[in-house]
Amino acid sequence: MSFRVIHFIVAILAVCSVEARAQDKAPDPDRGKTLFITYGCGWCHEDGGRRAAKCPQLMNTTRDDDYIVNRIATGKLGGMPAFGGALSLEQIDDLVAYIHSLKPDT
Amino acid sequence: MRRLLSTAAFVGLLVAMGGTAFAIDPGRIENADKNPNDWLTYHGSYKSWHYSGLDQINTDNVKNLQVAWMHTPGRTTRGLQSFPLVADGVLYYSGSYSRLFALDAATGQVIWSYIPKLDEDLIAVQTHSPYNRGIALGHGHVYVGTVDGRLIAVDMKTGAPVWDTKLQDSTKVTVGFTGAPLVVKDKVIIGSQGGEWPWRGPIYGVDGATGQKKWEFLTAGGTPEAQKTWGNDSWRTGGGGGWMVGAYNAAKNVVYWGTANPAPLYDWAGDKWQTEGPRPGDNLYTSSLIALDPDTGQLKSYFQTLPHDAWDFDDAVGEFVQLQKDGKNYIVHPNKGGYVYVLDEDLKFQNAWPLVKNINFIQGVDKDGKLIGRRDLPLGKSTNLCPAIAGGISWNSGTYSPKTGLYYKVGNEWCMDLEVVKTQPVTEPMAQLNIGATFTITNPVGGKAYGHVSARDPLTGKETWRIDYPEPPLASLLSTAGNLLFVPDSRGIIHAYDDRTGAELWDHNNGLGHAGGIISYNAKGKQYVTVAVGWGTLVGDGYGDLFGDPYKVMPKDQGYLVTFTLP
Repeated sequence: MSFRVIHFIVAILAVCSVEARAQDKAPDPDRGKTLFITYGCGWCHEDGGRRAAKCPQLMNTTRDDDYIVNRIATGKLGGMPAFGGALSLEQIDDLVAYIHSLKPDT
Repeated sequence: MRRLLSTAAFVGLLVAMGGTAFAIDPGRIENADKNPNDWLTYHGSYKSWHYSGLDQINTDNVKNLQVAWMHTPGRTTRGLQSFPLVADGVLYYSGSYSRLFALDAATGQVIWSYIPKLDEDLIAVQTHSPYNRGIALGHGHVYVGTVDGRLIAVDMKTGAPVWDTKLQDSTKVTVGFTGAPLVVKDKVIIGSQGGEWPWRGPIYGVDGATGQKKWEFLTAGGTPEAQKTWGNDSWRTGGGGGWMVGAYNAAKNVVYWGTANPAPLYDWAGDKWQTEGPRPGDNLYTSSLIALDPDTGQLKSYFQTLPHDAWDFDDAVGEFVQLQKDGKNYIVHPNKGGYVYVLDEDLKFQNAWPLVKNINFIQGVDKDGKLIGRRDLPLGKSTNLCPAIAGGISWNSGTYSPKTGLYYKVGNEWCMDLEVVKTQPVTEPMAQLNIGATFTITNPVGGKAYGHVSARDPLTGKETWRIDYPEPPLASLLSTAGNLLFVPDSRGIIHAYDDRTGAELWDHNNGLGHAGGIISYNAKGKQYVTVAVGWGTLVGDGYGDLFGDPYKVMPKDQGYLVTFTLP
């Protein structure tokens, strides 16, 4: 199965099951932070996502969760790699929780 | 009958021309610096001067330069970062996705094109993709690497594919090839991407005629000696790689190549890095200059600029400028940390001089090449580390003029804040960037980030003149026998200066930032200057936040090649 098909399936599942997954295992921002760094997200989203630089600022995002999950899973050509083949849906939820937990650096 | 004979004679002439005009044998490449009509290799010649011996365009008439032709490669994701080559009146170049073109060098008319089919699903998950930074000519072929791990040869005359060799499993290791290959004798040599990726960044030697892989050299722990410099067998995920093209010394029969940083980029060992952290030890042969036997891939010598590089200041950037002074041969090589290293041709350290002001990751380099006053980063937050991760020196090339004896090079003045975090390398189902930190690019304390081009003695660094730019230029430079220095800047302006004084003589707005190559050549008796135009490198991506407009609105999916000449 190609990456593209996997990404599509992951994205569909992600969009359809945010509520269902929430009942299994609560998304954890600390796990999300570890994933954010381990998977190199900070390469582009500077200051842990607090600042717009190479890529958009994640802190205070106005995007809804479905959009964020979809973007993480399927990426954007020439802008962001797709992580749908590397991360589980639960891990993507942890990343979303991390993004929502972001506060200005002190 | 006469017409038939004429046609037959013409065809015969073409065949005869084809037999000579397209023959680029190793001897011709070795003497590339003696034929300024062509531009046969990425660095201009094995000497890596990025210098044209042509002087038809000079300080007196450069003000009259005008556009001769343009060519758009299409599908220019992340701009046009590549480097054109010219042989016998034909210009060859690559675009993103390793799209190849052969153009009439005088008119820009397309002679042939070759669009390889790449693994688009793989490209969708890659970070350093899908740009291509250059090609090589030789053995009647044009060679290009691909981001999905292949090296391809096409026929120089027709663009027809000759061979297509899969060198590495990029679906597993994620990275492929973006740097230009180098033709040396019967081999084509190419280095893999890989600094931040948890594997071992090979450099490959491939038979130019058949595409058969003849050797590979692993830059992370490539010898038993090197593996001892990686505690806990961390060489297995050590990074390395040689993502930009090197050079060749025929007298010594060695290929010089610069290697990338180890992975993770930053580690949490602090000043206990020799025994603790994710990769204890010196981490050979990362952030090093290596000399390989082109016939076997065997290591002949090396010099590690940064033992246990903890800052992402690799040596994959930087040309190998080969010079002679007072009967002694030297190699001049810029390192991303902002120092320019001077070595002999056996890679014995001679001295190092700083190109940029904002350096505090070390306090200096001693007379033996050892680092003085390392700033090893502890776990947690650190501020004002200089230069920034993008480097005091970036990957495009400077230029050396034998007429002035000066070396012209871009320097970057910027810093960063970061938080070092413990990470584990991810290798399944495919390798992921292993950075080990989050970071923010910052202005230097008390000032603004900026860039400069300076004219210096290549061996001592003594400055003759210098020009500051509000943002660091990211493209390669070109000097010529017309006493000109061409600087394509980041805003999209190409400048021509008197290379003796730095006086600006001409400029032209190309409408889009520059981040690729620039060459000069002769076609049908006229001198031309060709420059790659297009924005979208990983370094340039951060310009919008750091510098504002025009970068906030500068497209990152467009690019073209533009050529100038005199009326």
